[in-house]
Amino acid sequence: MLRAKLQKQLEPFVLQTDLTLNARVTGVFGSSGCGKTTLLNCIAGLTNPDEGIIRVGETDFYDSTKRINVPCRHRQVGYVFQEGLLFDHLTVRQNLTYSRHERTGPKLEQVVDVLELGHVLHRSASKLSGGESRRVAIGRAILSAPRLLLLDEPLTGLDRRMSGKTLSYIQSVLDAFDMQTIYVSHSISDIVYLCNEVVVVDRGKVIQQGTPTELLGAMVSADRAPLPTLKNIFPLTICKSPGSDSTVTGKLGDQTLIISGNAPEGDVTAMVYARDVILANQKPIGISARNVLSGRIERIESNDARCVVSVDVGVMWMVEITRSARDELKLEVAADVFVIVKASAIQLIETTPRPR
Amino acid sequence: MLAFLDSIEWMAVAISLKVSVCAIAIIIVPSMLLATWLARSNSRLKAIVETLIVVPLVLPPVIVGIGLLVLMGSVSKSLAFTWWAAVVASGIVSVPLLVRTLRAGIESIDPRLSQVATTLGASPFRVWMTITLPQCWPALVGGVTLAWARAIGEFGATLIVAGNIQGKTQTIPLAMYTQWQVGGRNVWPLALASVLIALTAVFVSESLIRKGRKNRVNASG
Repeated sequence: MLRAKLQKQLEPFVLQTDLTLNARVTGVFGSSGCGKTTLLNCIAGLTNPDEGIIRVGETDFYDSTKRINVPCRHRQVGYVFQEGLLFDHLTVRQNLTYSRHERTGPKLEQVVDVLELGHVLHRSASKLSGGESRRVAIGRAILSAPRLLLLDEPLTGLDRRMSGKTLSYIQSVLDAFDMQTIYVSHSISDIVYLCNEVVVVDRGKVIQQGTPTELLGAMVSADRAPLPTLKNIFPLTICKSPGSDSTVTGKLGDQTLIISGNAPEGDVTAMVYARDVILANQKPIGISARNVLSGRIERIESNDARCVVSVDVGVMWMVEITRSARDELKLEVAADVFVIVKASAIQLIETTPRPR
Repeated sequence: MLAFLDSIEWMAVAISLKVSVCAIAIIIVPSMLLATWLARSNSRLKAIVETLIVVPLVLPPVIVGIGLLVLMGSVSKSLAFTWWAAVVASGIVSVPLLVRTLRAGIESIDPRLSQVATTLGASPFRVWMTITLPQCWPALVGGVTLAWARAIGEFGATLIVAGNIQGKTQTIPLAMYTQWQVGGRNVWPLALASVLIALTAVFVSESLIRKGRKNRVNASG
C-alpha cells in the first residue's frame, strides 16, 4: 500500500495529492509538466515535498510533522527513468548488478531470462539499442529488490514497434515479479493494457482515480480533444505455422484468431486499433473478414461524435464506432455482440517471454 | 645537449619534478571535491568560492607570492624558503586550472545518473567513485596535466616564498633565470629539459585518455 499525501510548490502551480494506492499496478496519466515526475521523485526521495506524508506499507518514508525523511538510498524504490539512463561506462551485467541486492531480491538469471538479456550481458551499455537499454534499466531496478517499482514513461523515444515490444516485456516482468508498481504514461492504451487502477493528474491535482476503463469513459464523455488513438494490446498464443495463404492462427482464450503474416509458434503480443474493429448485433454471414468473435458489452462511453464500446471477448477489447452506429444497432451494456476484425488489422508486436 | 647539464642543474630538474608532483598530489582530492560541489550545488556561496578560486589565475604571481609569504609569516615561519613553500606556491596557482577543467567535465555528466545510482542504494562516496569519477576521467587527466604543467613552470610566487637557493628550492625556471642573468651556457639545455618533460606529460595523459576509451570499446565486445 502506498500513501502519498503531499504538497510541493512548483512553477506555476502546487502539486497537491492525497492518494492511497492499493492496486498492484497503478497508472499515473496526465499531460507533460503536470507534476507526474515530481510525484515520483518525491516518492523515491529525490525531491522533498514541502509538507506531507509518504508511506509504503507500514514504513514512513517522509512525514513532515514527525520530521521523518528516509534518504533516497535507503527507501528501496526501483526507479526506471525516461530514456533508461544506463551507466554507459559499465557492461550490461555490471549495470544489472549495481545495486548488490541479489541475495535478497530476484536472481540475476531469472531477470535476464524474463527480459531476454542473455546475449548482451557482456556488452557495453553504450552499445545497446533503445529497446535493449530500456530492458536493462527495468532489470536493474528489479534487481535492487524494490518495495515499490516506479516506471516514468519508460517507452519515451522508442518507435511504435519497439514501444509495443518493450510494453510486452514490462507486462512479463510485472507478471513474474510481485511488487507494487506505479506506471507513468501519456498513453491510455498502455495504461489499459498494464494497469489495474489509474490516477489522472492535471496541473498538480489528482482529478480522477479509478479503473482504466472508467478513465477512458470519462475522457470520451468529457469530449476531450484529441482523444488518443486507442489500441487493444493483448497476449496471443500462435498455435499454427503459416499456411498456404500466408496467415497464422492464434488462440485468444477460447477463441481463435486468424492473422495475416508470418510468426513462429509460441506466445506473442498482438495489437489492433479500436477504430479497425467492427461490431455486429447478429452473426454476419458471407463476410471477407476472417475473425468474428462473440463477446458481451461491458461499458459504453460516448460523446456527441464518438462512442467507445468495451467488449469482453476473453480479454477486454475497445471498439470505436460512431454514435449513429450505436443508435442503429441499439447497443446496450450486457448485450451479446459479434466483434469483427480483418486478419490484416491484427499486428503481431513481438514474441515475448512468459513468466515461468 | 642534456649531457651539458651539471649536477646543480640536474638537481633543479629533480626539485621541479618533486615540487610539482607533490603540489598536484596535495591539491587533487580537494580540487575534485570542490569541482563536484561547484558543478552540482545551488548554494549562494558558489559565486564567492568561484571568484576566490580564479584569483590566483588572474593576479600577478608575485602578488600571490607576497600574499603567501605574509600568510606563512603569521602561520608557520619555518615553512618559508623551503621546498615545501615552493609546493604550496605551485599548488595554489595550479588549483584554478584543475578545478575549472574538472568542473566542466562533471557538468557534462547527466546528474540523473547519480540519482539512478542513489535509488539503487549507493552511498554518495560509491556514486562518486563508480559513476562520477569514471565518467569525468578524461577531464581529470586533462586537468591534472594542465595543472602539473602550470606547477612545473611556476616562477614568480615560488621565487618570493621559497627563494632561489641552489640544490634546495631552485626549480628549472629559477635555474634558467639565474643562468640567463649570468650569461651561463646551460639556459638552452634547461629549456630543452622543460620541453621534454612537458611533451612526456602530454603524451602520457593522451595515452591514458585513449586507454580509457579503448577499454570502453573492448567492453562492448
